[in-house]
Amino acid sequence: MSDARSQILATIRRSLNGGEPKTDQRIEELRSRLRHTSPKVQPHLDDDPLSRFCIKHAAVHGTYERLAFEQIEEGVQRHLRSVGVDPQFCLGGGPLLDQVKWSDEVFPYRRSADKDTRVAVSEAFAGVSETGTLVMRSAPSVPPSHNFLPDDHIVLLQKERILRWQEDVWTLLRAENVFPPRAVNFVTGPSKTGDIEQTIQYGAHGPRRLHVLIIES
Amino acid sequence: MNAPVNSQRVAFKARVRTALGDLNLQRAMAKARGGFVDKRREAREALPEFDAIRDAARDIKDHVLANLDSYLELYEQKVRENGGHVHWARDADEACRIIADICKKAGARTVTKGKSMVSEEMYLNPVLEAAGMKVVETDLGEYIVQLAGETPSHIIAPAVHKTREQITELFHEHHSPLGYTDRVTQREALVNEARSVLRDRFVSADVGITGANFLIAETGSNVIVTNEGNGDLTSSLPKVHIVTAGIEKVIPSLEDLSVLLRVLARSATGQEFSAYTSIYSGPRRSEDLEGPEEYHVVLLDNGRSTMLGGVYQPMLRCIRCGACLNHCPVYSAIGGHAYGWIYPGPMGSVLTPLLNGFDDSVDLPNACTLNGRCKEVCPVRIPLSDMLLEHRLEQHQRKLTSPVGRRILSAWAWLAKRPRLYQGVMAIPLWLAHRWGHKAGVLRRLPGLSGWTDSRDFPVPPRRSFMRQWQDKERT
Repeated sequence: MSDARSQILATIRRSLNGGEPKTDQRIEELRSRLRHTSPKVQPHLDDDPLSRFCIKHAAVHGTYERLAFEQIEEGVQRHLRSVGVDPQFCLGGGPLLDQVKWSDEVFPYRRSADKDTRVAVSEAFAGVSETGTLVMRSAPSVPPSHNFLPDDHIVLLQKERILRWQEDVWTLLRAENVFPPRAVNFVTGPSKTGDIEQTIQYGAHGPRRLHVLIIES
Repeated sequence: MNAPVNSQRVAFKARVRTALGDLNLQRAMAKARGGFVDKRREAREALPEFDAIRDAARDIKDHVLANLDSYLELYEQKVRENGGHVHWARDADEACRIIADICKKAGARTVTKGKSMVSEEMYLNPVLEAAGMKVVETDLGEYIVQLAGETPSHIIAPAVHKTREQITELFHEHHSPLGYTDRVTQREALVNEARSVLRDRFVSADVGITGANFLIAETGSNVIVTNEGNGDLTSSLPKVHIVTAGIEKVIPSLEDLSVLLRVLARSATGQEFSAYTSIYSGPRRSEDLEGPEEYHVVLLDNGRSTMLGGVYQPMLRCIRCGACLNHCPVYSAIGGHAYGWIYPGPMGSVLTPLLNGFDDSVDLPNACTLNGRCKEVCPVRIPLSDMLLEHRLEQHQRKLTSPVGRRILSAWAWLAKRPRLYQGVMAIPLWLAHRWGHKAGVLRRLPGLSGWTDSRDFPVPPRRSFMRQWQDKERT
C-alpha cells in the first residue's frame, strides 16, 4: 500500500518538476491558503433572503408555510392531513424542535428512519437563499436517514438562519464545536430522476415531497 | 502495434454502423437531443457571472494540479484525523484488489453502489461478483444499464440510450421473480417499482461504494452530487462506506467547492443546484445513531500522474459534467457505446487514448468534426478540440494512421507549399465539381467518396476559387 503511495507521489513530482518534493515553505503556503480561505466569484444577489429562498424553493417543487413558533404542530398536522397520512413521524432535533411541546394528537418517535418510514420532521442547520437550499448538519439527533428515506420530509427553518450565499454556510459550520461533522447534506427540493426519457420524475429514492416550515418569531 | 490498431479501426467503424442502424438507439437519442443543451443555455443566461465563475473554476483546478502531491498529502492527513482510511492504487487491478479485500473483511454479501465512473474504469463489479458478492447499482440509470448487462452510455445519464419500452421489458423480466408481475409502462410507475425494489437492497447492504465529485483537502471530505438521493443512502446505511476517486479530484477548500458547484449542475443538467449535494467526512461519531463504522477512500492513479506537466494536463481539470457529450454532434448521432470504452464523447476521445494508449482507440480523435462546441461549453475551459488535434498529430508522427491517408496528406502538404502550382491544380476539380453540380445545387455523389456522400450532400463550390475571385476584384 505505502509502495503504491510513494510511487504515485513520485510520479506526480517527476511530471510536475523533475521529481523534487515541495519545500516546507511551499507546503506552509498551501496550508495557509486553506486556513485563510475566502469566497471567490459569487453571483450578485441583493434581494431579500427570505423571499428569494421561498421563490427558489418553490421553483424546485418544494412547498412551504410561514409560521410562528407556537404554530409548528399545527403546520405539521396541516401538511400531513393534506397528503392523507397519520400524524406519526420520526423526529429530529435542533434548537427549535427540541422546545416544541407536542400534543397527544401526534406521535413523534426519536430514531433513525427505516425503509417503511412515512414521515420525518427535522430542523435545518441553515437555508441558502441563492438556490433555495436547506442545509442539514448531521448530529446524534439529526440522522441523515431522515433526509433520504421518508416519503414526506417536513423541515423547520428559522428565518434568521436563511443565508444569502452558499459560502455563508461554511463560516457557520466552522464556528461549530464539531467541524467537520460526519455529514452535511444540502437539500434542494424533493428527490427526482431524469433517467427515463430524460423527463423529470419526483420521488426517485428520497422524499416525494419536501415541506418547509419557516419560523418567523 | 499494427494488428490491434487495424482490428480496432474495423471494430470502431462496425460499432458506428451498428449504432446508426439501431432504431431504438436512434429513437432514444432523438428524444434526448437538445434537452440538455437548451437547459444549460437557460441556466447560463440566468447567471451573468457564469463565465467569470468558469475562469475561477479553471484557476482552482490548475492550482491544485500544480501542487497535486501536496494537496493529496494534506487531504490524506485530514481523512485520518476524521477516523477514515486512505488507500492508493496505481492501476485498476490494484484498486479492485483493495476494495475486494475491504468487502471480504466486512463479510459483505450485498454491496450497493452509487454512481461512480471511476469504478467503471476499474471494472469493479465483475471482481466483486467473482468473489461471491451481490453488487447492486442504485442510480436509476446505472440500475437499468446493469439489468441490461451493459455499461453506461453517458457519464451523467447512463441509460440515455434506452427507450421507455425497453425499460419496461427489462423491469418485467427482472422484477417478476420478486413478485412485481404487472408489466408497467408509465414513467411514474417504472420509477416507483425501481424505488420499491431498491429500498430492500439499500437496507440490507453490508458495504456501500460511491464515487466523489470532489475531495476536500481542508476537511478530508468527499462530496457527492445527485438528484435521486441514492448516493446518500449508499453512504449512510451500510456499516462500511468506500469512496472511489481519481487522484485529480482533490480541491483545496469549501470556498473552492462553491465555485465548482456553481458551474457543475448548470453545465450538466441546466439546474442551478442538484437536489442533493452532500459532504461526508469519515465514519460515524461516537454518539451518532447511524452512519458507517468504517470509511475508506481508494485513490486511483491509472495513468493520471503521467498526464501532469504535459500538453494534456488540462484534461485533469475535467469535473465529469457531460456538457461536451451533450453538445457533440458525433456523440448525439452514435451514442456512447460506439466509443468502445466508458468515457465517451469529446472528453472520452481525449482521455481514453491517454489512459489506455492508442491500441484500442486510434479512431476516437478522428471521429470529430472539430466544430469546437465542446471547448466552448466546458465549465473548466478544457481545450478539448485542440487536444484532439494534438492526438491526430501524434498518430501521424507515430505512423498510426493509414499509409494511404499519410501519402495523400504528404502530397497535399507538398502542393500547398507551392501556391501557384496549388491554385492551378485545384482549379481542375473545382471546375469539374461546379459543372457537375451547379444545376442541382448540391453534389449527391463524388467519385471515390461514397462513404462521405452516402449520408450527406456536398455543397457545390463556385466556379472560380476565392483567390481567383480576389485577384479579379483587385484588377478591376
